[in-house]
Amino acid sequence: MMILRILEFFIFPGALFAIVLSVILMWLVRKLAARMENRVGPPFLQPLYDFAKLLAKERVYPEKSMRLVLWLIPILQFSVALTMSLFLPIISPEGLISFDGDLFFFLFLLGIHGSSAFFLGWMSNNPYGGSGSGRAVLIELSFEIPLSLSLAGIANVARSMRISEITLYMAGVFFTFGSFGKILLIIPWSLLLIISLISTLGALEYNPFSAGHAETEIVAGWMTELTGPDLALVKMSEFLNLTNLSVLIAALFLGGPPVYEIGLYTRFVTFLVFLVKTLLVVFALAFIKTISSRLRVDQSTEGMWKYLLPLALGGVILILLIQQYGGA
Amino acid sequence: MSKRDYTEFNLGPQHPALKEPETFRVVVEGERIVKAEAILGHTHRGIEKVAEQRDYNKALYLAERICGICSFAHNANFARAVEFVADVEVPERAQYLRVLVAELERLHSHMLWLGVLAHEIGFDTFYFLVWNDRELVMDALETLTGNRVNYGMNDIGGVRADLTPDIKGLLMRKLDELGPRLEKIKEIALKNKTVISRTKGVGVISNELARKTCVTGPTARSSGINWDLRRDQPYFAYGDLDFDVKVSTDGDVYSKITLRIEELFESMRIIQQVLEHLPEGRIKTDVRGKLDGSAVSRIEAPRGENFHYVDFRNSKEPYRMKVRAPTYANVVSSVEVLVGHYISDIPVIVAANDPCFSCTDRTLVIDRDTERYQILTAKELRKLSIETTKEEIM
Repeated sequence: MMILRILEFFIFPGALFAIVLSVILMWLVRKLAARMENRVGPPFLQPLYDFAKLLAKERVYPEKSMRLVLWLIPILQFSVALTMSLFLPIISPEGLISFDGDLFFFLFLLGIHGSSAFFLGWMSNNPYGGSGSGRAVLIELSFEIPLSLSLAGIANVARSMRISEITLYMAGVFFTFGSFGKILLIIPWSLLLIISLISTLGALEYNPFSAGHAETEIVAGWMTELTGPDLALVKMSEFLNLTNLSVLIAALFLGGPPVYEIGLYTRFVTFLVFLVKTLLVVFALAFIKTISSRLRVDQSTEGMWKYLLPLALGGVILILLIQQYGGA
Repeated sequence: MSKRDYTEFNLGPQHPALKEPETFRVVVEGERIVKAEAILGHTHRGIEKVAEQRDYNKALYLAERICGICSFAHNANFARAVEFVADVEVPERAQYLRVLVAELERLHSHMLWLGVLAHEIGFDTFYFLVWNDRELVMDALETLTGNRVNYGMNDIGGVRADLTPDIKGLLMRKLDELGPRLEKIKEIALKNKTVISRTKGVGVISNELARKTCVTGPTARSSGINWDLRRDQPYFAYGDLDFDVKVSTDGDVYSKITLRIEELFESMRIIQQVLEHLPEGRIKTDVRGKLDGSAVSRIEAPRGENFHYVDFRNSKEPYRMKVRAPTYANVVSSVEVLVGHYISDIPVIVAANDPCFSCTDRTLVIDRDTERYQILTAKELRKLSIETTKEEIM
């Protein structure tokens, strides 16, 4: 049993599977964006090729940069992203690690991941890196609060702070249109879903919130001075984060992998349903990314604080009101 | 404020935002620009000097290679200047054909610009969309002249390729296809919220500044200067054609988008008229022998006013050739408006003037403080380059 448990952590549905899924999802985002832009798009294994090629390249550090930081933070980012992936409900509503309040531990890890980008850019002694790190941390600060709020709203619906419990609740809620209040909840649910999708774009630094590495302005932003394996790890943690966030949204908002009792195939069907829901979220992300242009950092911050944050707050309050008076 | 709060920031000579090597050196405080200057001269190729060693038939093709995008404008402008010196009458059919190619070139140049601007604001979807539709124009140009970029359409005294009924039919088809696509482009460019937020009110060149810095072309027209050589000093066959000159008064990047899109539709109108009313006759008058005298020719290139001066002293080779491409006039204004904007606005503002640095580069050194300028000789240039290299090695 011990060996099985270890295999679960390292192979399926643990680390290795998360990496494979991330590479596939990354390819999907790139391919979808390409097809929407009338391009052919990359071949299936392109993200993996990129990763492997970068791993084989030598490290080059700029003068007067802090090598230790440039060397350590990519490892930190990668390990944080990999740890986050262990919380994800993939073949059952329960992730590999699950405890009360894990949802907010997950967000905490996301915060670490985002803010580490700041040090990376700052320590690289490059004006592009410095500017990019400032932008990255600004965007990070602005998207995190609406994202946390919208997840908190959903946690409130399920009356739990545990990812697995929320997932179970949301998987069941589609089949139990019990009271009028529950149907009313669709309004704040869709509002919070949109908000969390938009903030996910910010977390992943996709268009329109890609100011942190706007190539036509500051080359690669905080990633400018990264080379070889360092860049490969940062890229891989970016891929992993795409998986983490899209799976999390699929789980918390769409119910993730539900439990259907169909005998032998239970796990398989659960896994398939999980994949379909995740792909839906990824498609939505790729779509928003494609139809928008890059906002300036002040514009994206302003948008987050002025519109997204009050809307998220409103959504949470609406949920509380419905729960109080609608009998949900 | 201490000195350490400012950062010097280089855009170029190698930078993803610039398609040609040019340096924009800005001093920023946080994200805001407090000082900006443009350092030109990375792509100086000495075309004017080379032209002095070629006879006018060969210099014509050299002029075409000044710029890859508005190659026809340079080519036709040089041909026109030489025709003034030779004092020949260009057949009417050739004049119309020149208008046809010039307007097709304007179409593809403006669409190229729109795509580049979309890329600068990170809207790659729109960039691919526009460039895909631009292929229709490129196909039309290729069928008509044989080339996609340097058309080789002009000859001194006329044009080299005629418009046969077959080609005319094909052109008509391409343009019919292009019309609805332009409508779609217009709708996206003018209604997309993110495009508006990145371009509206950004990089405003006021009428005053436009006059002070002598901008030309769409840049000038977007700042309320009602000036278009096609209407005000008609050349080729523009005098016979009916078209409007669009003017906007806002001066920001958004108004440049609207203006150029409107110009696209005007160009379509002109092309339709040319195809309908193309007169019959010869397409070329021969010009032979040595020439004497000098002439200036100005035409409205897609980017603005294009100036060619040629001087012949009883020779086939020009004694002096002088070119002023529109970017040279426009780049100053964009540097002036950079101050006070964010770093993110630099590519947008610089790209808004449709800069073409290969056209522009001359070895003219201007001292910014004393405003004195000098033209360096080859010897001085060599000395300067050795000195700077030494400094960098040290």
